[in-house]
Amino acid sequence: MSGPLYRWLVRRAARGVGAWVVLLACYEWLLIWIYPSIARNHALSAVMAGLPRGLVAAFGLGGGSETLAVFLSSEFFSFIWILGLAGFAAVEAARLPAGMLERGQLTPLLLTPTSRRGVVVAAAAALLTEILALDALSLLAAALLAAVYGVSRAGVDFGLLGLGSFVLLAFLAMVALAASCLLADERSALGVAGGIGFIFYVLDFAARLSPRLSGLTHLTPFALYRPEALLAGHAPLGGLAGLALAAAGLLALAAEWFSRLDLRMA
Amino acid sequence: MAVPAPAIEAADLSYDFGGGRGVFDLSFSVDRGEVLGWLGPNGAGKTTTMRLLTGLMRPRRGRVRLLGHDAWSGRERAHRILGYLPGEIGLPAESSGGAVLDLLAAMRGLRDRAYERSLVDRFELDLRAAPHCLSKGNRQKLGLVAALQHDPPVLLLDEPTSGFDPLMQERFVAWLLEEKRRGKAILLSSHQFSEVERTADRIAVLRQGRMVALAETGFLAQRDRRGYHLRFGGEADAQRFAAAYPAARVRGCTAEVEVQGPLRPLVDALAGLELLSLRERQQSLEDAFLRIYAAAGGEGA
Repeated sequence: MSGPLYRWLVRRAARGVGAWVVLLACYEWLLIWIYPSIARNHALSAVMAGLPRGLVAAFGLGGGSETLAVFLSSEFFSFIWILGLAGFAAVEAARLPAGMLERGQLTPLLLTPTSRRGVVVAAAAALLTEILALDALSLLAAALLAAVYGVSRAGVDFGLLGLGSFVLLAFLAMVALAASCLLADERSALGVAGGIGFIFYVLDFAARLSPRLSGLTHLTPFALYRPEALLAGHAPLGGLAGLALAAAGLLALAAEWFSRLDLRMA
Repeated sequence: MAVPAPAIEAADLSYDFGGGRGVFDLSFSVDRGEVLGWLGPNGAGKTTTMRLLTGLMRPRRGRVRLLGHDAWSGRERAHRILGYLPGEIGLPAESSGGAVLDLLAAMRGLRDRAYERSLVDRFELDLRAAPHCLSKGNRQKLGLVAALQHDPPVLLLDEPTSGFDPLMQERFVAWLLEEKRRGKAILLSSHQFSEVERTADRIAVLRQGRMVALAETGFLAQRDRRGYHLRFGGEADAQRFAAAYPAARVRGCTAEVEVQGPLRPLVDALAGLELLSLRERQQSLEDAFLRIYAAAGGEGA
């Protein structure tokens, strides 16, 4: 891996990561601020209780809003947060190396004695650092906001949620990076990575919607990410380890492919 | 004593894009202390050749060696001794030119940056401005320093003075001649014929991906060959001249002739005719290029 390239890529992405953290923290602030009033609203709890079971399970609304953990997992971590971070990872991975290649920005870097495998590994390391920073900082913001507003965090394990989400996002990021290396075209890479991520999410959504489709959980990594369970301290550690290995395999494939790529353009 | 191997060595180099585009069966070499001019119209395969030499593209057939390193399979080693300035310069998005140079120096493990500083001073490069804010000429200067900051012994220069003003072009030519004297092997592609003519020891002409000429610059330009423009007192004299000198191209009262060798036959053919003016024109490399290109079946000659 090229250390200077890694540091440069992380520094370049720092401003974008900062903006995302602020955006996510604002949304968390809004949710934590309104949480006490929603928790006291019995009429809303009655409406939730009347919803079909499949729909409740699909949207992660199973626990109602009795605790902060359940409320945040259903309103934030199950949908907006994880898809937002996955989108960030896909865009960043498509930019590296395909986007830089298209703009000719990668050519001078590839003409240094750094190997192409080293360039891809540096790109992956930078991407994982950015995801880790986003993941950790947005969870830290949630914990701090909960403390500021005096909302009880009893039974809320942000650490495990961070671990589960990071492994899932790392896998999705490596899918996008592999597409970026294989296709060497930013738009196509983004389309393929976004498409694969969307299919995974839809499979998981369908599996939660109906017990008859529950077998689909074996086909999607999103099945390993259940915010309500992770926040409650239950993590499928074996599955997450397997997902991490798959991500490493994708990185090895991407690096090997990129080292053999015939760079006609750029 | 063994003769040193050429610094750049290409053998049967081919890359077929399909539809007749690409480069085909190129074999050439460049020695240390030599500049090889690489000429051809747009689309002739000049840039493709350079990209094959850098290891960015993999030859479909043949091979390239740079100071003994295979350009594809040993490209990390080859990049230590190679400086490539592409025709279309892309630079990492950075806040300043200096930051771009810092990044590349770090990736090259470059500690001594005295040569880089000498290039910055010579080409009067302002390192404070961001690359995307630079003018075409200044961007070209930054690309040049970025490509050559590590003082490599093998240079591939694709349209290096594109965007330079005449003063900077002159400075570039002086620098290139110095680098040649320092023993660097240089492949120079340029549409500036005067620049190539002044610096190149040999010239290769490409047409549709194939090499149609490779010769010493003086031989190719045929500097002993002269052209004359003649103007006669009347069309009748011009026609009499055409009869006496069949190689002449006559149009109205004027004629164009090219002479290689003694002038006596031309002088004899002019005897007794009313000649109003005679203008001599030495063959330039550009004339030679157009002649070679026409002979090979190209357009616009």
